[in-house]
Amino acid sequence: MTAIIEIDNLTKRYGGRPAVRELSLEVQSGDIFGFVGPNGAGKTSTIRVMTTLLHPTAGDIRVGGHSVIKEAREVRSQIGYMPDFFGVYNDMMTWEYLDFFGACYEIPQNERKGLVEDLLELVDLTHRRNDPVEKLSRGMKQRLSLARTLVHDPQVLILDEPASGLDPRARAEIRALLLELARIGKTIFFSTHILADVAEICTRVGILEAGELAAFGTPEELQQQLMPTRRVQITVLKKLKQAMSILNKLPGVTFPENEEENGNPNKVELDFYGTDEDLSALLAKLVDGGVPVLHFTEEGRDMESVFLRATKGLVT
Amino acid sequence: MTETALPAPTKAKRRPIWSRLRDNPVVLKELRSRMRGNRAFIILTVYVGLISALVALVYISFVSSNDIGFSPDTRQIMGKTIFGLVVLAQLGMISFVTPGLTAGAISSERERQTLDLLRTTLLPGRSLVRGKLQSALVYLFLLLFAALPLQSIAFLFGGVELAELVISTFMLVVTTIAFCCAGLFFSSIVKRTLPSTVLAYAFSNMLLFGLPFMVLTLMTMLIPIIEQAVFSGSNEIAELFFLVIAWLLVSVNPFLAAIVSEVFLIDQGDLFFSVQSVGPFSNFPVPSPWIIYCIIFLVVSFILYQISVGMVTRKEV
Repeated sequence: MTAIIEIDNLTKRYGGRPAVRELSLEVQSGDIFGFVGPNGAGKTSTIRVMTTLLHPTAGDIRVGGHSVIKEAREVRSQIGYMPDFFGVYNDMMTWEYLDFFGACYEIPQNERKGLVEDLLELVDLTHRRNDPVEKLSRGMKQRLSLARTLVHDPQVLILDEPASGLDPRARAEIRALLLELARIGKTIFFSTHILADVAEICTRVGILEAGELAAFGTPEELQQQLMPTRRVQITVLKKLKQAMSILNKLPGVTFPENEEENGNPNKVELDFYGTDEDLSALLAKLVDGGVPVLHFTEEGRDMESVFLRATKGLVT
Repeated sequence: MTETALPAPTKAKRRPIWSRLRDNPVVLKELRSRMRGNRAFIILTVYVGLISALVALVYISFVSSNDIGFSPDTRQIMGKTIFGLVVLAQLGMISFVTPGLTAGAISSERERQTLDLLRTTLLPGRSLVRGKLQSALVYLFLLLFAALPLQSIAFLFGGVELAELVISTFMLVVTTIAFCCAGLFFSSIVKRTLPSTVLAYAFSNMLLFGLPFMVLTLMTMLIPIIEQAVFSGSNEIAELFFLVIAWLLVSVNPFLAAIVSEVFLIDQGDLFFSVQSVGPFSNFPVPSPWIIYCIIFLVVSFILYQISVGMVTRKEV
C-alpha cells in the first residue's frame, strides 16, 4: 500500500495560539481513517489545510503526491470534501445541486446527466431528484452532500463529522455508504466524535489532542498499545479471601491502585495481562479452588476506553 | 510504416456570448434561481408598467395643456421630457435593484456555508466572481432593454438624436456595471449580507443623490470666494482649479454628467468635447462629462472587481 495522504510536520497557529503542532502522519490508499479528538484538538484546522482552504503556518500536506501549498488545484481534483455543515442551496433541486457541482469540477455537460443519475442512485435519492433541496430531511441532505463529494470521482474523501446530528438510522446509512465507498477503492479520511463508528468501520485511527498526535494505528493496535491489560470483575458468593489468595499466585494478575470502594464486599477488580485462553484458565483455577463464582466479566476495551486512555483532556 | 498526415489545425470557432456564458456554472445557477418562480417576472412587469405610466402621464399632461394642437417645438420638448424621464427612471431602477442583487452575492455564499465548498472545487475564484457579476448584469440589462421601446417613443415626437439614445444607454450600462461591482466589492469584504447591502445602498445613494447635494453646497460656499479671487486679481490658476474640480464633481454623478453633457450638446452642438476659455487659455477642448464619467466608473469598476476576486481567492491564514 502507498501513502495517499502525507501530513508532514504540520503546524497551524492562529495569532500566537497553536492549533496544530508538528503533526506528522500518513494515510494509506484504501484506508478508512478515523481522525478522533476532543473539541479544539485541531482536527478541523488539519482538515481545512488538507482541503486547501487554510494556509499552514509550517509544514505541508501532500495528497496523492501533490502539495496543498504549491499544487492546490491538483489536490482539489483528488479530494472530495464534506464539511461538518450541509452547505446546500435550498432553492435548487436535488439533481441541479449535483449538476452544478459537476460543472464546477469541469465535467462536460453531456456526461453530467448520467453521472447525476448514478450518484442519486448510489445515495438512494433517485425518488427525490426533482425535489427542492430544502424539502429533504437532514439525513437525506447529508447523503446528498456525500454524493456531491463524489461527482469528480476523487481518490480521497475528506469528511468532517459526517454523522453528527443524525438519527441512528441515518447514521447507519452513512456508515454503510462509507463502507461501500471504501469497497470501491476510495480512501476515506473522516473526523468524528462517535467512537462506535470508529471501532466499527475504521481501518486506522489517529487520536489528536491539543494539536498533537496522541495515538495512531489500527483499532486493535491502539487497544494493544493503550490498554495492554484487561480489566476483569469477579463477584463471588463467599470465600473472597480464598479467591484473593488464588489470584495473587497467578501470573499476569495485578490489582489496580487507588481503587474506589465498590460497595460490594464480595467483588474484586483486577488487571489481567494475557490471552483469552489464559483468562479462561484463571476462571477454571478459581472454580477448581472451590470458590463459588457468581459473576465473571471483562470490562469492554472499546474505543471510548482507548480514547480516554490516550487523551488527558487537554485543549489548545 | 507509413506516416499518416495529421489533419491541418483548424481555427477554434468563436462561440456566441450566450454559449460562453453557459460555460460558467455560477451564471447558470444564479439565473436559474433568479428566474424561478414569479418574482423576476413581477419585478419586470411592475418596472415596465411604471415607466409606461410615466410616459402616459407626460403625454396626457402635454395634451391637456395644449388644446389647440402641438407646435413642432412643443413636440420636441415632449420628446425630450419623455426621453429624460425614462432615463431617470432607469437610473433609479439601477440604484434600487442593483445593490439588492449583488450585495449578497458572496456574503450569502459565506452565510449558507457554500463558499468553502466552491473553493475546494476546480472553479477559480475569478470565475465565481465573474459568474455573479455576469448573472446580475444579464438580469439588469434585461430590465434596461425592456424599457428601450418606451424610451424610443420619444423619437415619434422628435427632439432626441440617436446619438443621445446611444450615449444615455452606454451611461446606464456603465452605471449598472459600476453598481454591480460595488455590490460585489462590499459583499466580498463584509462577511454578512445585511451590512453589505446597507453599504451598497449607501454607496449608490451617496453617488446619485448625496454627491449633487455636496456639489451644490460646495458651489454655494466657494463661488463668492472664487469670484473674489478671479475679479480682484485676475487669478487664472484659481479659476482653472475651480473649473477642474467642478468638472470632476459633475463627472462622477450620472445625473449631473448627463444633464451637463446635454446642455453642452444643445449649446455647442458637440457630443464629445466642450470648448472652454479660462484666463490665458482660450478655446481649449474639454471632454464632455459623460466621457469622463464613463472612464472613471469603468476604472473604478475594474478596481473593485479585482479586489473582490482577491478577497474570494485569498486563503485563510
